[in-house]
Order: sequence, then C-alpha cells, then structure tokens
Amino acid sequence: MAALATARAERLLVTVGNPNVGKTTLINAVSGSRFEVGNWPGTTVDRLSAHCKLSGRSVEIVDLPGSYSLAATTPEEKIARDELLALKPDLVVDVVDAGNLERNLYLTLELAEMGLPVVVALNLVDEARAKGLTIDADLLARELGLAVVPLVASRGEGIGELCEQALRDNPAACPLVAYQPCIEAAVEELGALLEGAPERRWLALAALSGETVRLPLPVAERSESLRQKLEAEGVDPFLEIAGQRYRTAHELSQRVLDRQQAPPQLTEKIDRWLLHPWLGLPLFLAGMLLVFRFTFLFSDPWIEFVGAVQGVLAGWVAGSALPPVVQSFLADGLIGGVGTVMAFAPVLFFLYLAMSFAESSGFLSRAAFIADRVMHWAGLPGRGFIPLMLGFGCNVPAIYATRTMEDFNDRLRVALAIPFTACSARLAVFVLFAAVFFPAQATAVVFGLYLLGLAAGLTTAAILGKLAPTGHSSGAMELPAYRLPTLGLTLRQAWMRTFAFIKGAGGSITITVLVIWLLLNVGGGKPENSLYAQLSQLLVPVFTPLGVTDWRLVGALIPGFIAKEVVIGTLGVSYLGSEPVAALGLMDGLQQLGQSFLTACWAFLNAIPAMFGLPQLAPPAPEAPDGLAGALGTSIAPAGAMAYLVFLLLYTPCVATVVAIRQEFGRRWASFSVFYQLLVAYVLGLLAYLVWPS
Amino acid sequence: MTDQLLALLERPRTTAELSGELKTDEQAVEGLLSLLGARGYVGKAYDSSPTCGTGCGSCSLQRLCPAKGEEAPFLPVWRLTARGRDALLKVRGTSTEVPCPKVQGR
Amino acid sequence: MTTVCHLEPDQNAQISRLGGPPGLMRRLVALGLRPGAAIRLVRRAPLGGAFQIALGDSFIALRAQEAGQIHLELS
Repeated sequence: MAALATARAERLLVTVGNPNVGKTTLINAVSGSRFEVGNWPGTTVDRLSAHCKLSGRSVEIVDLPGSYSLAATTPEEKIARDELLALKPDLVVDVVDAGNLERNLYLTLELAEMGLPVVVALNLVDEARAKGLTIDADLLARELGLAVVPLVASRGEGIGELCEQALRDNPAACPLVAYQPCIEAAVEELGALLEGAPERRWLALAALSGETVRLPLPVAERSESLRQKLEAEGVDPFLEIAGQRYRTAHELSQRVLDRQQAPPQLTEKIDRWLLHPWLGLPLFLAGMLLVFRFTFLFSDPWIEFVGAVQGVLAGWVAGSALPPVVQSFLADGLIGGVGTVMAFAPVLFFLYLAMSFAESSGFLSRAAFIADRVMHWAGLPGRGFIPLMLGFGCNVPAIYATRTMEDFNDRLRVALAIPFTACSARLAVFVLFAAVFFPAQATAVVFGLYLLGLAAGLTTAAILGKLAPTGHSSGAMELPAYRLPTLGLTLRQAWMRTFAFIKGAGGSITITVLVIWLLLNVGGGKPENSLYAQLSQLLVPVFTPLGVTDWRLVGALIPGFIAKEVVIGTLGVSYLGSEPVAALGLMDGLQQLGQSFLTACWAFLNAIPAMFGLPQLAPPAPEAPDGLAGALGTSIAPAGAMAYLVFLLLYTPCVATVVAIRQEFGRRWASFSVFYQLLVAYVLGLLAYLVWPS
Repeated sequence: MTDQLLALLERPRTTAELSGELKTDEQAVEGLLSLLGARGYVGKAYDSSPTCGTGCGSCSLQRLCPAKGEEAPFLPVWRLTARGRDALLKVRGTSTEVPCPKVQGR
Repeated sequence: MTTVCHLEPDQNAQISRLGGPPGLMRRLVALGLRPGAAIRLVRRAPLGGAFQIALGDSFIALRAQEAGQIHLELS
C-alpha cells in the first residue's frame, strides 16, 4: 500500500462537489473501497484518496473537501481551491446533486473557468426523481460542453460509464458565463498578463472580486487598480461576478430541469373539487373504498396461491417417510407459520402501493385536510384518519402508516385505536356467525360491529388524550402541489416496505404459530386430550358470564391470535375433526403448483376489469366447511353468539399487529395494547350478553 | 441577480420569500446569501446590526428574534448590512448612466 | 385588528403578528407564516372547519383556532 501511495499513478483524478452529494460513496464504488484516509497538511480536514486499476491503467483518485464555491470562504473551500490549482489533475470529476442542480452548478461554472478537463457526475438522480425532478442529461451536456454521467452511486448505477469517461482524454472545459463588457475587458487585460496559465480567466475574475489569490506582483497591482476603477464607475465587481454566475446557473437549470408538478393554478383547480365543502368528504370516502377494492382484488389471487403452495408442501411432507409428529410439525407448524407471514405479503404490498401513490401525489395531505374536522373531537389531527381507515383493510400496514404523523403522542393514540377497527380477516368470522344466528339482520349485525369497533378505538384515543395532555395537536400543514409519481419508484417503495415487514415481523409470527402448534399437539392424538383442549376447558368459567360455555368456542380464540380468520378453521377442526392431508408425489405436486400459478395470474388479470365493475354491497357468502354452521347453531344461544362476536372484534390484536406496535412503539405499549384490549373486549362482551334480548 | 437580491433585502426577508420573489431555487438563494454574507453585504436580521436592539418595541420580527426569550421560534431572516446598503445605493445611483449595458448569460 | 378567520375568500393580507402558544408559533413560522409575509385566503370549510391559505406558490391548511392566532393588516 505504502509503495503504491508514493508512486505516481498513470492518471490523477480529483473529485470535487458540494458537501453531502455522495462523493465518498462514489469513490467507494469506483475504487472498490481501497481508501487511504489522512489529513490535509496543516489542517484537521480529512483527506481521502484511493488507488485502483481501471481497465488495466493505474489511477489515483483524490477527494477534495466539500465546497459550494471556490471563493474560499471556509477552510475546506480554501483547500479545494488551492489543490485544484496545484495538483493539475488529468480529470476533475464534478459531483453534482441532481436534486439541487441550481446551487451545485455554481461550482461547475467556476471549474469551467479554471480551464480544467471536467466531467459532471450527476449523482442522486433517484432522489431527484422522487422529488419529481427529471434532468435532461444530454441537454445539460450540450449546454455545458462537458460529458455528463447520470448516477446512483449508492447502487452502482452509472459507475461503469463514469469509469470509461475517467480514462478518456477530455478536453479542457470552456468558460460558460458571459459578464458585462467592462468586466470582460478587465479580465482580458489581466489574462494577457497571465499568458500561458490555463486557469488565467478564473484567476483574473478572483482577483477582480477581491479574493486573495497568489499572483505575480505586477498583475496583482494592475488588478487592484482595475477593481478600484470599476468601483469608482459604480460597478461592484464581486457582486457582478457572483450575480452573473448565479444567473447563468439559474437559467441553465431552468432549461434542463423538468419539474413534474402541477402548476399552482391546476393544483387550485383540482383542490376546488377535492376540498369542496360538501363534495370533499364523499369523494374522499369513495377514494378510500377504491383503495380497498384495488388491494383485495389484486392481492386475493396471490393469497390463494400462497395457500396452494402450502397445500402442495404439506402433501409432499405427508408423502414422506417421516414419523407423523415430525410431519405435523413441518406441515402445520413450520409451513403454516411461514405461510401465515407470506399470506400477509400480497395485501401489504398492494395496500402500500396505493399508499405510496397517495403520499407522493399529494392526495394524502388533502385527505388529512378533509378529515381534520371529524378527527378533531377525538383530539386527533386529520392525518390520523388515514391510518384508522386503513385499519379496516388490515391493521398491520395501518400501524406503520401512523409514521406520517409528527407528534409521538398522537401517533401512539392512533396506533392503539387501530386494532379495534374490524379488519377484513374478522369479517369472515362475522359473516359466518351472522348467517347462523341472525339470518334476518345479518347485514345490520356486521355493520353494527364495524361501528362498535370504530367507536371503541376513537374513545380510547380520546380518553388517552385527556389522560396525557399532548402538546398542541396541530392542524397546520402544507398542501403540496399535485404530481404524478413514477411507477418504478412507487413499486420499489411498496416492495421495500413489504420486505421490511417480512424481515422484521416474520420471525416473531412464525414462532407464535409454532407455539400454538405445540399447544394443539402435545398430550395425545385426540384433540380432546391435547394441552390446547385442557387450557380451553380451564378458560370456560371465565367466559361463562358471557354465555359462552363450549370449550371449543373458547379455545378457538387462542389460535385467533395468529390471525382472526384462523378461528373458523379451528372451529371446523374441533367440531368436525380434521381431514387427513392427502400425500402428493413430486410430479403431481409440481403440476398442482404450476396450475395454481396460472390460475393466480389469470385471476390477477381479471382483477383489472373488475376494478371498474360495480362493487358488491352485500356481505359475501360465508366460507366454512359444510356442517359447521349447523354444529355451531346448537352449541350456543344467540345472546352468547353476540357476546362472542363482540369479544372477537375487540380482543387482542393479531400477532402481526402486536409485532408492528412493538416495532414502532416498543414492548411496553405492545403489551399494554394486548391487555387493555382483552379488558375492553371482556367488559363490552359481557354488556352485549346482558343487553341482547334472548 | 445580486442587485435584485439586495433590493429585495431592503426589507428583511427569509430565504423562502426571496426564492419566491426571484422565482428561483431556495437552496441556490441560500448559496448566494452565504457568499454575500461571507463578504459582509448581508447578515442575519438580529446579529451585527448597529441598530438592532434599539427599536425592538416596534419591530415586527420581535417574536421571532432569538435574542428575545428562549421559546421564540428561530428562522433566519436576512437583511442588508451597511456595506450592502452602500452597494445597493451605488448600483441604484449609476443605473441610469450605466457605463456598460447588461449582458444576458449564454 | 383582523385575523385569518375574518378574511373573505380571495382576499389578500399581510401578517402583522402571531399569537398563541410557542409550539404553535414555531409550527406556523416553519411553514413560512411569519410577520410580514403576504397571504391570500383560498377557501374555508363550513361549520368552523379548516382554512386553506396561499403563501406565494404554496398552499397551507389551518384549523379555525390556529387561523385566529394569525393577526393581519389588510392590503
């Protein structure tokens, strides 16, 4: 290393740019992180350099300290300026933040005046795109007369092209800023005195601006007299030069930048409808319905597919020569656990997709504006309404969506209210029970349960707000201009959030499923003798006041912790017994997999026209094993069934939701949520039993 | 661009307001301000002003002033320094008989 | 002295003074609503609902009680 460092490489590259434009990341990507870190002589400013081989040629890269200009107003800028003049690099790589082009171009214009060969590395184009800014790199290259390489250094995009440029013999850049004739005349006169120095134009301009630059004495004296002459004529050379550079940077960036943003007039026109005093709220609710419809239509085929994969895997396990306990552990425990996590993924992905779109297009802020009045009575800001509404789809993304709120207390209160809202998984159970016990008023019962959940959540938030008076929950916020987010970015954002859920919560959920598998399978072959049945029977006295006396109903609440719809499956098994899984051969399984994948793709395509069809208003037909409805009807009275439904609506959030609360707010609040909801569910369940006419 | 900026700063303004008036990027205005600030043409409203602190009772910015009370919100409001005012007067004074006309950028 | 609450839609005004608790003031100033700034009322929701004002090219939403803390000079 040491020997390498002293030997002069074939090519010397320097990187220069504003602070925080990703220069280090860029050098890292080019050199493969073979850095040497030290200090610039006589300073505490870090000096970063790297030696590497590009296409067989040895290259040294020196990173100059971050600078906004070469006017040397800070120690960093002074080093950058002096080294640029002293090093005489073969190439200057000017790293430019694409999201902040105008300010960054000021330095580029100065570099061009130094007469050095310059390549513009247009970095962070992805972040710029996220801000709705696209830059015409070809046009910028033509305007500047320099090579421009668009980059995302952190992902290595564009690095190959930059390396190619780095080995080319780039000509010296030409000056791009035209100053007033009186300034130009002075520059020309001084430049003639500096004949032979490639950086003479920059030196002359710096001297005229009154900066301290090293010049031969006669030139320095001449420049001082020229400067005084200009000032006497009422021209401040410093202001003229800086101003003209900024003007040029501004005009340049205007020409190459495309702001994908609705102009204020259009934004105001759209707002006239969306924020309309009376139409606003109905339009907003219709939008929310559309989001749910989109999510469930598009995710359903993939949830089915996950189920089919689980079935095939279980079939293969059943066909293996393993002992039955191991088979059951693999099929019901492990595959079931991972399957539970995977079945969440499609819903989350499509819900996040809709949310990403709403967020970056500007719709989310409008929704908060509309909902502010509704939320105000619970002492919550309007932004809390969206997570709460999302809770009706699935509680898990709803918890993560509270991040859009600024105040911690507000965020926590909304997060504790969300699990009370009836998610789509609970709907399946409601529909089954309503059809069995309240066939005449099924729709009213289901709707009433939804309202009860929302009321319980909002009351919780309101009470917590009274107990812990937050600061001032503010409704003041900016309503950003509308814009159309790019598809790629929205997809990537949705995928990253879904992936974060699988990575962060997948383990805990799988472990919970395994624990429950253990409960169900320890203690003998028959379900009546299992640990699960014994535990359920222990719990029956607790639920007797609610009119629920059958251990199978009580027990089903335990696996309901995994996901609320699991209650139906468990009831089916404990009332009717489980059907053995048929063994599958390798080829049969593969064939089934292929078939279900094709079915999923077909259903996914069919979801597109279905989006625009009429929504189905009646609750869907109950999906339950044959005979379960009859068995249920004889095991409990309607009042008890009502109490059971209320309890099921409100009791502990499912494990994925609990994990989400733990990730966002910590273990303490996650356990609070579980115990508090159990209490509320019990009290309200009891009330329902006592009040319901039997 | 600098003369427009100096003229706008006759009344103290924030970078957001300046960028709105100049129809330009806020970050770029910040850059220009720091350049001008380093050379003593402009300053933050409350520091290094010989008159600041004498007329607080009538100052519309007093509730934003970090010199007043620790709870006051902070927001940099820029103003001209004596040097900036001189420069502005000079530009104004000669603008009718400018020795050389303005040249637009390339 | 008037506040944003008393503005009619499309009326212009200049902020003269901010009131309210420090937290609110800090929030308003962070949004660019400082004394001296010129604003325009865009619309107000009925039943004491929110206010939408324009500040330069950007739009800001406010609650009624927040709007009441922004004192104005009419222009």
